[in-house]
Amino acid sequence: MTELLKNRQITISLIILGGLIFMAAFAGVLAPYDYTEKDLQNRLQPPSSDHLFGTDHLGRDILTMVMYGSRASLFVGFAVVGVSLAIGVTLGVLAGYYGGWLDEIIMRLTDSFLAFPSMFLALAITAFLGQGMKNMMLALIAVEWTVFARVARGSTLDVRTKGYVRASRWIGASNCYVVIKHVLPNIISPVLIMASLGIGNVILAAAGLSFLGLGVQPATPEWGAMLDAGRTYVTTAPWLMFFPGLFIMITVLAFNYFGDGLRDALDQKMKNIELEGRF
Amino acid sequence: MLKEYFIRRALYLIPVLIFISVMSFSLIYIAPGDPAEIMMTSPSGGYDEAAVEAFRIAHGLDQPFYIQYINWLKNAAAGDFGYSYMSEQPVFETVLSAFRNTLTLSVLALAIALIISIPSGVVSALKHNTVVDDACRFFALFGVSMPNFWQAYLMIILFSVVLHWFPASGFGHGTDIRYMIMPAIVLGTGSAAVMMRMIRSSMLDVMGKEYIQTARGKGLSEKIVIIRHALKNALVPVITVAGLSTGFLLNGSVVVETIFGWSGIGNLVVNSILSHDYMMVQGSVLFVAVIFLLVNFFVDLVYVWANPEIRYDRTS
Repeated sequence: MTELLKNRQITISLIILGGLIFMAAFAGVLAPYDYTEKDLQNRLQPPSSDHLFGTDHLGRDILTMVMYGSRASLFVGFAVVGVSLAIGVTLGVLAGYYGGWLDEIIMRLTDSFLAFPSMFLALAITAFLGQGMKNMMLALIAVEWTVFARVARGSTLDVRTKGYVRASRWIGASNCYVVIKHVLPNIISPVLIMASLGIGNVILAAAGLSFLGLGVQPATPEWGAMLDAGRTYVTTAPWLMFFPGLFIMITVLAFNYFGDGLRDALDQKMKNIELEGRF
Repeated sequence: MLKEYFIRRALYLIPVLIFISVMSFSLIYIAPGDPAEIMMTSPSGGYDEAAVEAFRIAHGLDQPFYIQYINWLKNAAAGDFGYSYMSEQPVFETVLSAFRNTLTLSVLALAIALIISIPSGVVSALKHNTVVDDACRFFALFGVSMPNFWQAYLMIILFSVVLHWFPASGFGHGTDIRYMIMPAIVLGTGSAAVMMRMIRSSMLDVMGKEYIQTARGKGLSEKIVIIRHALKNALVPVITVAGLSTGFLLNGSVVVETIFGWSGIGNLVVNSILSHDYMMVQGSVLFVAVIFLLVNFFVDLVYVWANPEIRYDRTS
């Protein structure tokens, strides 16, 4: 752990991520205004000392909205990746460990989900399930789990053939014991790296879907939805779009930078795993 | 050996194609409510009972799921994806013409991506671990992390509102380059970031190889070594980028085409969703998935053909 903190890239990104999480957790205390507070007298005000980021079309303070908005984005990022990781790692380990027909079925299923360009799959699922945050998250899980399934399967196959694993099975260790004792520790680093890059991807995708009006609805403060609301005023009041966009980028950049640093630090073999920039 | 691999790889396509067709077909069933009601519900929300019943019978929706699926698949395989509920045009023709427009934009975007990524990737690798390398890597990360919808609006503000260089949005009959520049740059810069990173790491691998030392030992100039020996070999793994870029460009088309009003497949899907044109959504999604699957399949074949020692048995 201390080794990791010596890495400048990891330290910098952790500081930024810590700041963002702090902002999300204490938005209620830190925000200068109430995000529901509409002040129609002060609509579309440019950034000033009263409103550092300006005000929106309903006279709400944009800095306040951005602070509360971080909650939705971070929540979606962590929750979607958490669930995808659980599903993907389970299926990937099963496929890699048992092999045979189970592996065939799981891998062809993964291939089928991967056959859809991710944004189209997410769009189609949200379109049919109906708009809203919960459905958007389901759609993103449908896209994201495949990454973990592939990584987990690959790493499981690697360990399965190792001498010490074969030996421990030979002396009678149960499958469950082998998986927990030997397989899982081996797949932690690649999975952590993919999770960090995945959170960045998911936040970007969620903002995109909300921007298209299919994700989080405008009543909830969320960065993508704020950008969508700001579209109408792009020429007259560009700050409506500028600040939420900037925060999406900082957040995604921090997660990508962290994942990237983690990959360099943890595992040389992983250098071939690329940022996919899937959305 | 190679032939066997190709055949095996082609056989994998069959279950995947079946899965994606089932998934596309089932989409309509994951929607809350009955497909006939959904299809016959106007964007304003109301529907007529008698019309729903007539629609159900006319489209065989009163038959069991698997029979409906087989009928649908038979038609889809023949290029009949049904008719748009909104425009009453055949879905397949609309999707095909939208896809052609997306392709035009993608070619331009890919050209921009290559122009940026090849030189920067090579320079980054040659100046490995220097400030130049760090800057290139950081910009690549920046490019991957920048929301394309945000970048699009920043460009509109700069180039349309302030400088008046390009129209903010529009299609221009699909041939006017002024309408293509901005969307192509947004799509291209995102892809460039991903490609630059791949070219860099591939170039780094190659530069460490013995034949590079040999070429240098023969007294060839550094320029020739880099271009003729290193870059040529470094670009082989980058073939996989073609698959990655297709995904990237298709995904990007959704937001970028919507913002710039380009009549491509991404724009078509978003508009169809907003107007509840489910046949169109289903047709477009299946079409895009099949194209993407085939592109990746061919990319794999070319990649393996170019590096016979590689077999993706592990990660198939």
